[in-house]
Amino acid sequence: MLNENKVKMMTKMAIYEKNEGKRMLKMSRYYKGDFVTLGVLKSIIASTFAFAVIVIFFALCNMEKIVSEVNTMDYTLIAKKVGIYYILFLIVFSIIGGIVNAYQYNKSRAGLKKYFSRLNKLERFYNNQNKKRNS
Amino acid sequence: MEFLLELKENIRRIYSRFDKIIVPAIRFFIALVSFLMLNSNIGYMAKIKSPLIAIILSIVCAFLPSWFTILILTIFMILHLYAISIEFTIVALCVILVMYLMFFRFSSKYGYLLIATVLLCWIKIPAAIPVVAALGFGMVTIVPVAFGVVIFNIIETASQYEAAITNASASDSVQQISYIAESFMSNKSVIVMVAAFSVTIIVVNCIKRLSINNSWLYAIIAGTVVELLFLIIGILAFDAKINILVTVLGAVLGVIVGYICKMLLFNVDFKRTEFVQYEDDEYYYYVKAVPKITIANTDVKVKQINARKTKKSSKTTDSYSDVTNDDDDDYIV
Repeated sequence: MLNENKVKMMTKMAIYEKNEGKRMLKMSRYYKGDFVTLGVLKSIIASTFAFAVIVIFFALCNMEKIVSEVNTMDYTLIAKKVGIYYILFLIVFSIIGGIVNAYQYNKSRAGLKKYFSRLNKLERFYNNQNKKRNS
Repeated sequence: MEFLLELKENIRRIYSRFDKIIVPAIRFFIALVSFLMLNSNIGYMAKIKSPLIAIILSIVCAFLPSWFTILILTIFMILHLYAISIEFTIVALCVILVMYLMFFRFSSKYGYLLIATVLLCWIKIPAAIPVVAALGFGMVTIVPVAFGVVIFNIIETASQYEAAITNASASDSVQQISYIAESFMSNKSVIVMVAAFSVTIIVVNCIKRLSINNSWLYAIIAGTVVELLFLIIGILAFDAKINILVTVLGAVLGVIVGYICKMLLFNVDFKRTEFVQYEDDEYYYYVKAVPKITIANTDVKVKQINARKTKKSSKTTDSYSDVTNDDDDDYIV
């Protein structure tokens, strides 16, 4: 027999899973610390690529100067400068990535709480049904 | 006010009934206008300039998420830029790649806000967007709005590129890249606009969160004033090429649109008809869940309860009493 309340509950959960829950349920697999670390890691990788693009772009813009001074340039100093900028760049964007991920994780909690409370209700419903059948 | 509230209810009712048509139609319209805007501004590649291609691509975009529309529009733009010059394509790709890697991946779901910013820049009233964006979607909208301004700058520079490059007599590729990069960086109006819009979004966000009555109304007013101040200071201090009259017009439009959006669209629970499939031990379920229409009740009876009477069990009757425990009655299943 179909139980109307059960169908309603399962439908709500399915709608949540289909929409915003899709991403949030993925998040719920992680502890907050792990999720934030993952976000920082992704930011580091993305920032490294972005920094490489910026360096190439900068080099292309100043190609004339670079070609004319190719023999007289102090490469150690340039490498040091680029290294310092890279580290600063990484720090700034890792912090941004960390903050954004922490915020997203906290935001997902409210929806998940409702979802899990429905899951618990459903479990209780099944337990009751099993008890009735056994007795 | 009553009229606006009724209209709000009607919009919600129409949306929940025809969302399967309304959403793709709006997406189609936005995508089509964007493609046509790109064609008219930088339509240098004859093969893809045909309106038929724009229509076909818009139909595809209508049924896919916003990030896909952004991707297709970016590819479309890059192809047109490629027809102008390879150097311009390299510079534009670098800018887009850096912006995507650093910022846009955090707020990719606001793709349509980016498109709206570009389109409003095109019709010269970008000042209308930050207040509305901040009011509806929060602080994160700084990214798509700023990105939109930069993208429009690329489009605008590209549309004037051929004449500019001849005047600058930059013959080889390296010179051209330096010239393009310089013309991007030296465009003060972009910097002024990005700064002004970012500050406006922050101000609107901070004020609308204050726990005072009508905070959002104060947020609209304060945001617009700050925006205008920043833009005018920017125009005067950096000699940015922004038309003051059009800016003021845009800001006033922002106030009106912000007010209307706040009354009609934001904070309304737009539930859609949902089709879901799931199963349990006994059945497979293919469910169509239609949101219930709640008509604003004008005849709610408020029963006053005296302190003495509360000792006895007293009940209040209102029309919402049947929706108290959990929200299990939102849909007709």
